[in-house]
Amino acid sequence: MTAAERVRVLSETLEGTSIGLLELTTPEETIRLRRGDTSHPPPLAAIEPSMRAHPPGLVTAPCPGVFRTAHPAQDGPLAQAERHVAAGEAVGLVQVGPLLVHIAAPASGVVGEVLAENGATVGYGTPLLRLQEERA
Amino acid sequence: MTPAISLLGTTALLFEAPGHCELASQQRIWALARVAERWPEVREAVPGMNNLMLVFAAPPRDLAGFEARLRAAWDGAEPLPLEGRVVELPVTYGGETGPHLQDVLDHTGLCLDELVERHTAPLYPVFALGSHPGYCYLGGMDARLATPRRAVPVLRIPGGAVSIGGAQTGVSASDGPSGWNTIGHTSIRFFDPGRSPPALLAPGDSIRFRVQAVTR
Amino acid sequence: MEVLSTPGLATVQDFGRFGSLRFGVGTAGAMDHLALAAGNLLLGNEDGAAAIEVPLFPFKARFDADNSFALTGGGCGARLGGRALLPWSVHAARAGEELLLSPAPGVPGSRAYLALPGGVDVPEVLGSRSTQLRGVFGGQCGRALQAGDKLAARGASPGLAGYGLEPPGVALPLLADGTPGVRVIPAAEYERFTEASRAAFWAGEWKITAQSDRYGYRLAGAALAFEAPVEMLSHGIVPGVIQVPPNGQPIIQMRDAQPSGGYPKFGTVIEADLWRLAQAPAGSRIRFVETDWNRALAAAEALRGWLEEVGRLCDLIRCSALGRRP
Repeated sequence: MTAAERVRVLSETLEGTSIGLLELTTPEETIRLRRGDTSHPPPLAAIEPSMRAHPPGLVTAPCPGVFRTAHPAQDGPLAQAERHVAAGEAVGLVQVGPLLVHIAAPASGVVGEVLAENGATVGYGTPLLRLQEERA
Repeated sequence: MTPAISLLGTTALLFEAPGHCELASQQRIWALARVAERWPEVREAVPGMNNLMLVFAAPPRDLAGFEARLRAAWDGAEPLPLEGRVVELPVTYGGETGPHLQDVLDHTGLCLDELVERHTAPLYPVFALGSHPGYCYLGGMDARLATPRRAVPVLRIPGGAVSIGGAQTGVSASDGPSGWNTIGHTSIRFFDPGRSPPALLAPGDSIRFRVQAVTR
Repeated sequence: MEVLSTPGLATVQDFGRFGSLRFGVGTAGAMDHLALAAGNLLLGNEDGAAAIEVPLFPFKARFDADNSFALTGGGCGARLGGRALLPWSVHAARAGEELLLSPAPGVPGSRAYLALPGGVDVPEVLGSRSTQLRGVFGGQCGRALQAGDKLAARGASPGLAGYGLEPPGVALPLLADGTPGVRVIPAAEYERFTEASRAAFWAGEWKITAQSDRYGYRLAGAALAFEAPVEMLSHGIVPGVIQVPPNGQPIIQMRDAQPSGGYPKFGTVIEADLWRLAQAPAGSRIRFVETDWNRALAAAEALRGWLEEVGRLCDLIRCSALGRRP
């Protein structure tokens, strides 16, 4: 897909969603789309991939949205200090409209300090929590 | 008397013809089904006993307009004479395979021989298919045999069960729940999903019951 | 994927079989259309691809190749190769990993849906892959899944994982005085019930009894009485129709319902709310909310709107690298 084609697909996709701003970063390019309608509520989210490195043990938001410390259909929080998690398990969520993007633990470990509040609007890279990784 | 039209949620609409369930009226139901199944709002037109269910492909925005079109189509519907084949079914009445025979005798006040004679006498036209795959709703039952459906449905009756429910009789095409009174048993395969059409019988065909045995 | 163990009643279902009612063939299909649709949207499957409906737990299966799958619906906890899985989400399994869906009383819902890329590969019979239990055809050999059954996905694994949906029960709640509600349009025999029964139907709470399954939900509550005995001719019915047999305890027809019946009909739970009923567990209580044609169409529109937004965002996330596991 060329950049122009991708912009067209994304524009069509954006149509009809509650999202006002979209930023898509790939290794090749960054695409930013914003609705022409400026009266639209502030953007709920833009989505971009997690490409940048960050300090070890710090878990950051993979995309802009609303930070959720628990899943709405599960008992018990995901992001809670002293919770043990296996590699790949979710330690939190970022909500984008009806989507819930998982924040996966990069390794097995114990959740340390939770840095963002449940319901907080976060941007790409916002620090969310610390994870004490367990040595394999 | 005018037809009654009622809603089955937003999924379908039920058209009930006035008067009794007789072959001439049922032939008009078949004719109405042929007309209505071509309408874009209609996914399938399903004849019942003196009634027609129209399942919506997309629920019409203008329900009143749709109903008016349906009433006009009924007024213009001429009986559609379908002449199919006759299938004869040997039946064992009573015993273990007719557990509700006594209830029917009690309700109708008939003796066993009278019941069997009256049940085997008519040629039963297939009015419609329904209930479960291949099951035929039949017209033509002797009114003296009419027995109300059971207060609590039976969770499992076997395929081949010959039963009476209200003013109707029929044969179960496979094992399953039923609210009807089972009076006997027959053996035939009514449905094969690999066949086209998958059902053995269609509206316009007829069934005759023959006495194979009577268990007292 | 191989089924390792199941207590029964897990079936392959799509949206159902349409066009064969006149042969006596009921539609069958997923009890919860919304959970099925959401699972397919999460994976980018075509609308109406077949998935596995799991109503009883524990259900255990093993993936024989790397594959993505979507888990929607509710009523269970989920683990994959020892990792806890989030519900209503896309996950990636490695070859040999075991998926365990286990009973979880605290989790809302009562049926889980397991969607595979491209849908579950079983033959289409009379236009559908849904299991017709009464007719013994469709789905996996016309029956519920058994240990040892092997099910393949029709599509290649898209290698997606790590995102999901806010459950529709949260996004589209419907409560009547604090009790889960479903909306009902009165049906043909509505006026033939006593006025007191009609009032009691709307005002009361109804318990979903243990005698409830894919065929129908038998309810328990104040018995509904007729003004006079009603004996009816057989006629077409659809899932959602609330029949009242002479004992006065209503039975709501569900997806495996017969395509016709002869008990008097009090009303019909609207198609847009059948998913709520599908996820209401046996033993729980529900209330009925009276509605009409136009409001029922608006409810269907609201569902369509939710699914469209979900679909667009799922397309978007697949466009981005976010949903792609390295």
